[in-house]
Amino acid sequence: MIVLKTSDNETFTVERDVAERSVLIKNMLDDIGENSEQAIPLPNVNSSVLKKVLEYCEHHRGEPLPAADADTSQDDTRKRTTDISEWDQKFITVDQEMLFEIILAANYLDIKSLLDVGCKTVANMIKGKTPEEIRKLFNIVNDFTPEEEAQIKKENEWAEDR
Amino acid sequence: MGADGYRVYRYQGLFFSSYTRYNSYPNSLGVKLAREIPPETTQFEAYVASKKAELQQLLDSESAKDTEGSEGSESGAFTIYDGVGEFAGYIFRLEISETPPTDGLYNYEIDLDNYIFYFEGKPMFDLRNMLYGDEFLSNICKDPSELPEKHRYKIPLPPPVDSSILDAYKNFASTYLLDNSYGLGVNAILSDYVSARIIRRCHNICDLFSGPLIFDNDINCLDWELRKRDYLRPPAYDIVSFYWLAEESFCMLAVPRIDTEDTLQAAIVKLSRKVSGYFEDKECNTSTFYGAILSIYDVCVVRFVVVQHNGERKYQVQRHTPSLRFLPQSQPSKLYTPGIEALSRLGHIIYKDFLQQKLITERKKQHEFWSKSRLLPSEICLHIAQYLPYKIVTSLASVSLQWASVAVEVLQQPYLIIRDERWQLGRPLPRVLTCYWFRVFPTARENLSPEGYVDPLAF
Repeated sequence: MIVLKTSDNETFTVERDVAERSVLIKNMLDDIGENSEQAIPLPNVNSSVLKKVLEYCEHHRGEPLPAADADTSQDDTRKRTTDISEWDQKFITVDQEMLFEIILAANYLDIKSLLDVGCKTVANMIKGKTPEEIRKLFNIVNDFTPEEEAQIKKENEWAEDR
Repeated sequence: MGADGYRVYRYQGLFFSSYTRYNSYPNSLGVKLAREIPPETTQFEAYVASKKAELQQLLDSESAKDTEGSEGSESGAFTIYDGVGEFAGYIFRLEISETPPTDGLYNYEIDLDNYIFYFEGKPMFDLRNMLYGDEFLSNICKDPSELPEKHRYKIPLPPPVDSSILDAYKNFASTYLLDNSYGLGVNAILSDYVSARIIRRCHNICDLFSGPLIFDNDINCLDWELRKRDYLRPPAYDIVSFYWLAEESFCMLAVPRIDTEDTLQAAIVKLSRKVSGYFEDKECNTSTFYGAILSIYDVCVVRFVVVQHNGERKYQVQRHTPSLRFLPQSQPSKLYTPGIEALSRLGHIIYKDFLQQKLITERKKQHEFWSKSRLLPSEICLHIAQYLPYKIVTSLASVSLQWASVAVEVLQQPYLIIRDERWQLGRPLPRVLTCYWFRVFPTARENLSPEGYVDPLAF
């Protein structure tokens, strides 16, 4: 068992193979040695987010980790679809703030599969939305007048597919 | 069933053609026509002189009709012509036109201007070293590049270039950018008939190489796809030899030939003058831009710099490539040519600048209006964008500066779009079936194959 310490000083005791879903933690464990009881500090992750991350890791324990030197073409092939498994979809059904926190944590902890799930979810949220709706999604305020908005729309016509 | 065809003589840039309804096969009309051309030099010269005299006589009689204002005096009129030699005893209805006929099954042309024997519009033999009988038949269907050198047509010398133009070229501080190491030998000349149309073709090709690849299942739609992208296009069917594919970034000049040093230099001078003329009453906002000079077989890339000289802006040719083979040989051993490679590289530079201009510079104002809050780091935005189709990525560019930068990054990756034809028919299919987005891997060109593309990402 290993101990993880979050930014808000909470500690989580987890099984090693669960924690090692994170490449960051795995590397740290390799560095500090097998029998260290020292808590691993995770200053960029708070307890509520780590709880969710560990839930994901627990569910996917035992699954093969992507190879560190996986070739680019396989990586791109992976990106061809935004399909998410049923469990992952349920897991990632959280409010937007938490979703972004999970993505940031997955990026920091280097959990590729979780990062993919988060990014696919955001991509799915973006799909089918207008720029204005996307701005709302990301809490970006539009200060344009209707005339300016119309002008921008006209300027962007070149990018329209049809 | 009749195998129709034309026997055509070219003289003074005009085409004198007679239609043959039956038996125009190479082993009949072809062999006969070849036999008309004497192999011996003195006889050949006499043949050319007499044939030219006959055709000149026909031209004179046409122009006399013109003067008299009689019927049939307009271009393309028919003239009755008595056959000679192999064709003695036949009466031909001869049409004089500015373009050769293309509708016959087997068309043969004796080009008295350039001493070339054409078959099916392809330059084949040197009239001064014709092949006859079985030898003619065994070579007539070959690719011209496979013909014996002695008998293959010879490219005529280009018209002389005025010395003042060559002097103007010498004033440019030009240096070559790229080695010219492959396939420069031009193996055909651009006929007058083709030149106007080729400009449009070159435009499309250039357009294709300077942007992402967009294909429909029906390749005929490609023209339409390119045409509707008006931001890069001059008015439809307005065929001009100089225009901007991307304004102030990339201009293009179409010329008949750049395969000799003189014609290349003359074309560069012409491009330089066109550019200066264009900016006479326009403000130029860039410091460098590019031009491509295209003939049907070759391309030359020119880089311009904008300099201030005595308070005036000058558009100087900074450097240029040599004439680079553009179209591949008919049986190429490589999937690319130096010209294609040069245009592709140039296309990448221009496309990157174009995206930068369209997605970031021109949207600066709107980006400033919106919050600069950065909810996710760019590397994650990039990761998200990898899952989004091209159209949505371009929309994202107007959301914020950060997303615009991400869009520039993503859209630089090569991709192509293939539409399902059913979508064009307007059938109510789920969107997932209607459009596929392929990301093209940067694989080695030699190994480029359908497997090089990822599976579709629907949108």
